[in-house]
Amino acid sequence: MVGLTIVVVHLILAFTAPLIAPYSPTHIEPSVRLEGPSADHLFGTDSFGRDNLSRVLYGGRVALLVSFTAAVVAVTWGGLLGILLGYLGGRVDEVVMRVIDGLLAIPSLLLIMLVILALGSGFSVLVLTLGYGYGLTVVRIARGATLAIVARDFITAARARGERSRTIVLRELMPNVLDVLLVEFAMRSSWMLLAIASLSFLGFGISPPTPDWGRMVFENSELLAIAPWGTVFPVIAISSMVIGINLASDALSKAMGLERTQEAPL
Amino acid sequence: MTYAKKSWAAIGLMIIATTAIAACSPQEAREIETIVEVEVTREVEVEVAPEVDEARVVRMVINEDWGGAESLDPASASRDTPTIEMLYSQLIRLDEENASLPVPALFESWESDATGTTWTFKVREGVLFHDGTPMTSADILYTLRHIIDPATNSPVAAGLDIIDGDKLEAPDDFTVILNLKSGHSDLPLMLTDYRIRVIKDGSADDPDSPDYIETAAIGTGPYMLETFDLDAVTVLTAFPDYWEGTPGADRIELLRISDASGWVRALLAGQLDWVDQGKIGADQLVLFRDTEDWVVHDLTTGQWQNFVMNVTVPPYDDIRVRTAMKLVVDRQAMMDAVIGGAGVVACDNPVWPGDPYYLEMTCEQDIPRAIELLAEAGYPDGIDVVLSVGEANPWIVPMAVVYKEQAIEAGIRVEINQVPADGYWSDTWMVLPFVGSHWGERHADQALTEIFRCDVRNNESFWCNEEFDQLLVDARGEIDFDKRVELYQRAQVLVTEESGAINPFFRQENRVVAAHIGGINPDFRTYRFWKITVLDLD
Amino acid sequence: MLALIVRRLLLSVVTLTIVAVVVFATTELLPGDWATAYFGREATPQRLERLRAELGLDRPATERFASWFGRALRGDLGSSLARKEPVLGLIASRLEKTFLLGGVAGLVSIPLALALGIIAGLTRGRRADVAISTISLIGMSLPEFVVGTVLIFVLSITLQIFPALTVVRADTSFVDFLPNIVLPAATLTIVWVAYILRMVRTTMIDVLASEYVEMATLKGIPRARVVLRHALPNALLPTINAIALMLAALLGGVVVIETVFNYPGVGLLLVTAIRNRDVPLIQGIAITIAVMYVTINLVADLLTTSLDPRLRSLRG
Repeated sequence: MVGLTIVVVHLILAFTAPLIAPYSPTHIEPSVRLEGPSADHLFGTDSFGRDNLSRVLYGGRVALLVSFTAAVVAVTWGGLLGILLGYLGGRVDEVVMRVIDGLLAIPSLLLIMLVILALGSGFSVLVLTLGYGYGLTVVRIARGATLAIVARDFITAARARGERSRTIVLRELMPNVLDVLLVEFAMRSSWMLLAIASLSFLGFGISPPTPDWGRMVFENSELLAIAPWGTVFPVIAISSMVIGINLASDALSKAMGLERTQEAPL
Repeated sequence: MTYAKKSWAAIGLMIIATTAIAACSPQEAREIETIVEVEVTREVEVEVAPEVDEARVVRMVINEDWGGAESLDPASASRDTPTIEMLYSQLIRLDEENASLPVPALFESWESDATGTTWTFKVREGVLFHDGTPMTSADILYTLRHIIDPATNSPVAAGLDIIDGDKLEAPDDFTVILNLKSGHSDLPLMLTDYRIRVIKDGSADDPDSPDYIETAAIGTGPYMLETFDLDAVTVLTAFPDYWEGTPGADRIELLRISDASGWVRALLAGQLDWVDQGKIGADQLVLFRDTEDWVVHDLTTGQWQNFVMNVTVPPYDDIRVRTAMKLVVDRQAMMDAVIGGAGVVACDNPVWPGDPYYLEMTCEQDIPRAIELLAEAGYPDGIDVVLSVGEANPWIVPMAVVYKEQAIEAGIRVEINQVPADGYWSDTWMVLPFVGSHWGERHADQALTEIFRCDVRNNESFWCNEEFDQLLVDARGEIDFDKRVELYQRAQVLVTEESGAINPFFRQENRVVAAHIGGINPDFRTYRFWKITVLDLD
Repeated sequence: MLALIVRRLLLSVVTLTIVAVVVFATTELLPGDWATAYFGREATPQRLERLRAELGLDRPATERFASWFGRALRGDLGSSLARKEPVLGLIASRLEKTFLLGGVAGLVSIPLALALGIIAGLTRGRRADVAISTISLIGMSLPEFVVGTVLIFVLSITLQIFPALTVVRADTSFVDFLPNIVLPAATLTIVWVAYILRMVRTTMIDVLASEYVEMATLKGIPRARVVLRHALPNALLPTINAIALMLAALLGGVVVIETVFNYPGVGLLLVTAIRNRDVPLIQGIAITIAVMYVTINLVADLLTTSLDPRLRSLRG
């Protein structure tokens, strides 16, 4: 419940940023460089005199949108392919899984950086590359979950009844694998958020002056000694969002009676 | 290695303290911890102090712009700038007090004929290379041929193409005669390019090895190469027989640190003594100003970054539009916003205030006049333009943001198109009609010739003016300084009025130096590495 | 068993080929190449042409890939364009440093995570568990570069105990090098401990709730004995799996940490290679990482297969 609340609050803030942000996130005001929190600038200002509060509010928009969309992409294609492979089995399954294994062996960060360099760090590029990278693991997980169900009686029964494959996949398998995928989705989006922040830090993320949490931390972290607020607030924003998603997905998996799979992000 | 000891002491302290706390009652533990702490601190001080005195080391950063392809050949496209300045000497250099005055280095004196076509240089005697051999005119001819050789791919070659490469003469060991294709009265100034540095005539040793210069790195500079290690630390040691005297430090260490935030951290953590060339952003200088441990030098330079309109593409082919685009800029406000006012306002002039040919102008923001001009040009309702900028220069994006805000007042609606830094120079610059650009400081002749003459490759605004081109030719051939000033200043007027370049300000450059480093003139950009010393602050 | 190994090895070659093709194809997408990266703004068509001809970059992509692949099969990964040194040597020296970093972090984080995870699992819902779980959640929520930046700020800049960045001469002794590892290893440890301990805690709770532990408890076996003899061994198995996965992810994950600390490992080498379009080096690093990934998976699979006879018939 706590997790869900945090996530919802974040989403509302990001959604209404243009309405509630006191300043334009890119407006440069040289007279108020590096000022501490005050009534005019609740979170202080950065070295260009930009309002940190407005930047934090706007900074979540792109990151949240990218991570949620990319997680949807990852879970959708990964989940569908995984279910299909688990159901079909045999030669097709073996060949495709071999290819997936090969692709998994490529460090995803390397591939993501290369693609971003080649095509720029636009919204669709970020969504597709992250969605691809994280989708590979989803294929494996969805396939595993399907295999466990396929072996069970009711699928055998359905097959024996002579039902068509499409019906079996859509009616019988999908609903049963869906809970696994839902938890995957929640977890992937929190990793995505961290991944986007890391990419921004490495200089491969959302390009400036568009505000972005990861980049804000990077830009302000040198000045930690004299203007800590520039770093602290975006860090709180990232962390609280990740914690929120984690708690929510914990609660979700508990409610569905699932074990959580554990892997490192990136 | 002070860090090694300090951290071992710290780790030891932690282990001892933990054990102590675990073993004893809380009361006792606290006492023991305190005792241990005192002992360790004393030990560190005693052992570290003599090491600092032993060798006077200055730690700087090495550039990593070429990802490991850095070269010690001063003429190479990937030369490593601080390193070549310490290993090799220039023929003629800029005066320490007056950054636009050529003064003797390895060339002791010079004179030209009445047309500025044939130049005779007297070579300094008694200068030794790092391997102990004397430097003569043969080495200088070898150096010049190496620069001109197309195989070297040297960026300096284009600037030296006025020298007739087939007519380099060395009548004796200490005289060099250069014949120019056409007269140039400022040849000595041209020879002060920081990449023109004397290398040892390698033809006798290994004429065929292209790596000879890069690996041996034998020059006449104040420091000699000990190890060249682009992965970690490049070490140079003092050359006791340096022609200006023994260098003030024993060793220079050049550290490879890959990004700007790393330089700041290394300085703060005491791992670096010196960062210059504007590598520390203006916004981070606050960390070092008015502190006990560092000194910040603010240096006026001629570095600039600009917006460029292609004058052959509508709407920029209309000079009224170009003028309006220039008039909307409040240059002081832009400079304040982008670099905290650390610079000098420029009126689109590429020649900087420190140059003897500099023409002073004024350029106030004039919104009504801009609106008027736009209306005359057929844009009474304002105009939409796309400004493409890359991240190649850290100031260009903030500049674009400020420009957008200022221009809107005159109805110029700027859309900022941010493109990746990679491939910027091949895909955006001189390709799209309105782009960002930046340039290093240049002498008047070089700045005007290399970027604005009709036929040059870097003519970024595609501006072509016969009168301007002729002025440059006349100026070069003019022996009388005052007349030359007149010609170059007329050229500056033409550039600022007609070309497509909007250059709002010249940037100040900063140098952050640890307080225990001495021997540098804080007001001047050019410095003599051999004078750098390590002071004993205690 | 032998047949299985041979089969898996052959499949690994297929996997590595896929890696090589995909990475090469992606580098072909990049705007510009090493020649444009090298000359930057000073590039002229003649200069680019000359340098490309010199390095063979003017040949068609398929031809370049074929010749690279042919040599790679014989174990020669070519030379770096920027460094003009063999790729294998460059990677080997950096890999050593990365392994050292991972090793130190592993030695600290695995026992620590196990201990904390077990304690949390045993005290589920009580104060110790809440404290440990909260800390691990916070640890998981902080990006590595934030943790690294804070550590540098406190321990290097303010207290000046450890170096902020790793810049050491090649001839530095191991003892003098070690202080440079402390902060990056600590960063890695914080991230790893957070993940592993959550994993251990979950498994611990599951195992404790399982029927046979319940049975053992009902039989009247002392609690400590139940935990040590019955619960722990069962909780360890999935943890080992997770740790193997961590190892495989190490190389991808250290890129950020190595960048923060300027640590001369393979991650930093990769970032530089990508910035410079040094294709042979990018390829070499990708292949090296893939080989390790495949090996770790192979070993893990073989271990599981030999431990669990039921799987042997299924996969054989």
